[in-house]
Amino acid sequence: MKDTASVVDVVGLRTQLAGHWVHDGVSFALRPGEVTALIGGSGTGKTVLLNQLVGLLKPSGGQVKLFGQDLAKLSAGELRRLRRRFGLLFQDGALFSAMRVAENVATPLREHMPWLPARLRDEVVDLKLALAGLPPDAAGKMPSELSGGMRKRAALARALALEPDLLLLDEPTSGLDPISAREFDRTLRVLVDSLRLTVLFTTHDLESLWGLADRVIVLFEGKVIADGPAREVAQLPHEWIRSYFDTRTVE
Amino acid sequence: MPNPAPPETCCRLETGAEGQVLRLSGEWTLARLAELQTGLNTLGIDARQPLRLHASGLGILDSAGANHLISHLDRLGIPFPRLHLSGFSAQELALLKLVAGRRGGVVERSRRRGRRGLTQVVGWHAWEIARGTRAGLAFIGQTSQALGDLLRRPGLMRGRELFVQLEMVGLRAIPIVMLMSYLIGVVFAYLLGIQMQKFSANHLVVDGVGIGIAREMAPLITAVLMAGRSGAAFTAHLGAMKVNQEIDAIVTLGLSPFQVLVLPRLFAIVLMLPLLTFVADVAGMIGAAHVAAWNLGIPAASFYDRLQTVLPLNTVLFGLGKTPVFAAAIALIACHSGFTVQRDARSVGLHTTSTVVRSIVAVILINAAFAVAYPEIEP
Repeated sequence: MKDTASVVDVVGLRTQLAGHWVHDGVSFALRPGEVTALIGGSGTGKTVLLNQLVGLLKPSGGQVKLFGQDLAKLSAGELRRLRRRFGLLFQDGALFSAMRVAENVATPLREHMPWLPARLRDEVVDLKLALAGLPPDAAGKMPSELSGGMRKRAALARALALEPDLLLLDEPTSGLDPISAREFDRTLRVLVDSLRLTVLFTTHDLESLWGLADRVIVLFEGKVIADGPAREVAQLPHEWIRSYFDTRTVE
Repeated sequence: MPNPAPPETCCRLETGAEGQVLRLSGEWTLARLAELQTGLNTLGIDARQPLRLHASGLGILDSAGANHLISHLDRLGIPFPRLHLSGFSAQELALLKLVAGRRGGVVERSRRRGRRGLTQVVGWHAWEIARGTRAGLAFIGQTSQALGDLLRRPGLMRGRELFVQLEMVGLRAIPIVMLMSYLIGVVFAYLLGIQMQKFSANHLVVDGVGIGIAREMAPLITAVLMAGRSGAAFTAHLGAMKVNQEIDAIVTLGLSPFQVLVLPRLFAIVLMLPLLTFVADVAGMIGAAHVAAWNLGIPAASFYDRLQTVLPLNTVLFGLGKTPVFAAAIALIACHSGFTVQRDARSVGLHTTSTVVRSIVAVILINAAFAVAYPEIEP
């Protein structure tokens, strides 16, 4: 089950950025329907790792496989087809500033499913905005008119537009108030369960870690130092993990 | 999960004793939305009778498919709570409930597309022009105030930033200014020479080229070049800083963005434009002298000799004297435009374009005003 069916396969990933080894042999695999949290201190290369998973950055060494296909060996056309199958939520949304929110969400649909009639496309856009928790009047606004949390939700709606199998989220709940953050976790949980979504998210939000993640991967000094259910990881004796979970519970 | 049924059937309606049964089959996914729509439309569901959804043959259900089904039935007058569901897996039920619960109101289409009527467009632009003029005047006022503060407290001067700007605006522009002006001098002398040869008055080329370049061409070409080069750079730089909230950070630190950003740029371009224009004067004359030597049989020595007698110093000074006004206009337009960038990437591009256009227009208007005000220059 593990090797053949895994959605994401990272083997011996090494990354050098500005003469410094950010990743030094990172390996893990994600199975379908699994929600995995990626944690680690600032600067441990969580965002870099997500960018490598979607093919925005080339690793210095090692292998990244999505849906069993090696990213480094794919042609441009194959990569484009593969891109339909995952959505990425950028840390600060990365909405197209020249487009209204609804057009932002419609863009992946327009590009990848041009045959879809405009009425049906609008129906899908309305649904995704509602699923992401945006009020209907946000659809006509420009991204610059939205608050940070609203931008994040609009970006989630865009990431969900193509009904992806794999969802990569870079700090999805940062910048959201605790109520919206928990709401976000619940929505994601239902989507994951009913659509068999595979999710990898980076986070500093301990609540999401407990409430949402089936599994936690801890990056420390370029390596995976822990990989397992949150409850087990929290018990590990490693110094960084100890202080991570301790500081948060004190708060 | 059950196997998907043949793709052409998505649903079948059966009317029995206890109402209608809608049997769902196949894949209810985003990719097949159009087929699902036609399938549902041909059914002829009766909204007055109870409806049961039966999902025994359902392959895959995604949120777009679930939403389409619920929306369709909703439009027919059967809201989700009135549906009887059977044969759905727990996951599918959860999805249906999530979609039914979250489905919001439908947004009016014209608002979403952002289309505006003619009167709205005219009104909006008129409002923008009025607001822009007011903001522009306010900007000039704020810059003058900052200038006043600087005169009273010279310590406010940002030396480092000024020298960086002097280098960017002045030093690095010298090659392109020289090249442009040299070519203008060549073309000017060449075309004028063809006309003058008809009257065997080759030597008059020197008179024409001297006055033409020193009074009009060099100042104008250099100013237009600076508007495109430095004006665009000012706007793009300040605009990107605005997007990045760096200008807010400057204010928060208790500094004045006018002292830190605007005045160094204003001084740099006001100082440098006359100097660059002088460089352009020289380069233009050299270009003309080359053409005169090659084409018109005027040796370089006689060219410069005649230039000294026919080109009054005042003409050169007049040409140089109007450039600080051009420079101030460019700097003010560019910095103001940079400060009014909104917090998105598109805005930076729009404002940079508008800076280049507006500052070139301003330069040409000011030049015309100078030409009208001083048609003759005393030697």
